[in-house]
Amino acid sequence: MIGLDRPNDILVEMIVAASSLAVRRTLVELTERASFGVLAVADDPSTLANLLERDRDVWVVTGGTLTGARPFLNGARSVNAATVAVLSDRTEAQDRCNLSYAGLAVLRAMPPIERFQAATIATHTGLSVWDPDLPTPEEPTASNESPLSPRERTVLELTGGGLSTKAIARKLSISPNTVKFHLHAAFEKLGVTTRAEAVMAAIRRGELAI
Amino acid sequence: MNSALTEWAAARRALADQAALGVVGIDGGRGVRFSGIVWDCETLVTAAERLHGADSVTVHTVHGTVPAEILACDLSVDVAILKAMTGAPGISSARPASLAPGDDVLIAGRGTSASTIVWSHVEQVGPAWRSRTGGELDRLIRLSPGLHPAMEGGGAFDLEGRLCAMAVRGPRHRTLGIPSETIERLVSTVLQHGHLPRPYLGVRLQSVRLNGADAVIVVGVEPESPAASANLLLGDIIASIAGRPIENALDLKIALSRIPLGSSTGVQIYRAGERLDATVTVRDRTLQ
Repeated sequence: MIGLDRPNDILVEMIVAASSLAVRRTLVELTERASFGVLAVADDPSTLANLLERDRDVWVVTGGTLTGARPFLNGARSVNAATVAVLSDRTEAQDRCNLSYAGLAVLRAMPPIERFQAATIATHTGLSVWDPDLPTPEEPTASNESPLSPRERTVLELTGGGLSTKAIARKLSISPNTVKFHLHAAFEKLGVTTRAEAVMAAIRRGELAI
Repeated sequence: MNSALTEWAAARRALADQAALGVVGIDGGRGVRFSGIVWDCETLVTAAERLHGADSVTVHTVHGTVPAEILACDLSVDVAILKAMTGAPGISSARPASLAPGDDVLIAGRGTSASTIVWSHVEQVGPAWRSRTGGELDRLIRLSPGLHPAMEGGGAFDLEGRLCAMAVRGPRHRTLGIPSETIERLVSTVLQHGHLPRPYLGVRLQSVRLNGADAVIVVGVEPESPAASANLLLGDIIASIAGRPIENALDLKIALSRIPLGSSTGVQIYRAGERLDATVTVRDRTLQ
């Protein structure tokens, strides 16, 4: 039987990362109330980097002000660690643009425990979460993304069909290297590293039809 | 001499020898090496993403080197199906129920001239799940982390020597097992149809919030597509298809994959605030 449920029995272990002691305490308490494990506590970005080097199979939870959380967010993002940021200051709508990426959940301070749990699980599946209680920009973030060129779209479309680079090249009467060029340009624009992710990201952005 | 230990070691050795026969080494060109599983005497499976769009590769078996042609790739579940005359007997798949966390499994892969065997164990087994790239996997199988790139696409075998999963590297250095039943489903489809059908509606979508819920809005209808025939319009919100609620593009992709191709299916949409029912005939995009 094939169900549609995402696994809900995920073992969640978190690294609590923040430079302020008060923030770390709040986050540890939040994590424990959510019945998640606190694997380690990091008070500066290099400690976090070392911990992530050892075990990348963990979540990072950070918080406080956006300025304070930024170095930890960058460190977690560089190794694609699923991250939850519980931000205390006035997080503005325009921050959403650079805080919307796969595997990051942004929550306002003192989130309801169910929301914290749900957001954490969502980051595991590579979703980007923005707390509904935080301000939302008028314009969708899509306006900041550079659109794919028609050629890049076609190449992605055929890639999604499982076609090989050579087969795409034959179909479009271009060289395999040109196909790779378009594909990598599309990867860059979509912020992904694999073909499967590129196809799904383009579908999500409304650039490819399903 | 401890005979129990000797027997144990011999049994493990026998399993390793058997597993080694069920896998091949794959040379993707430019020094890219990974592994594959001998599904039957002329079919191999491997990790789709590792092929990087190649349409043929060189395969190293116990008996020598043979060329292989890629028959089909499903990137969303990371499975590629290859045709290669390996002459090997092929593997037998495990019954789906026989895997539990903590079970020992043996991961077998192959380089150019020798097999590589790693004893591993199952960390977690979960219900069916969907990958973030829109694939449906029959079970969540998580193996102990740290799979060598050359072992990717190799087989994870249980203590009876049956294939449980294909070992692939998941996000964040996890080792995932693509369940043998998922592979089985794809292989039988490809062997039956010659390709993997791609259900096609012909809409481009974007996510919107609608009365506090996630929804998708149609931002493009491709000409001569099933969506165009059903008169779907720009700005329509797709609420459900075949009775399945649609909250995002992934939902729609999965819902489409469960609709028999060529049959009429009900779609509920919101247009200008009104709920409408439409009928679409989802077809196979590869046949266009």
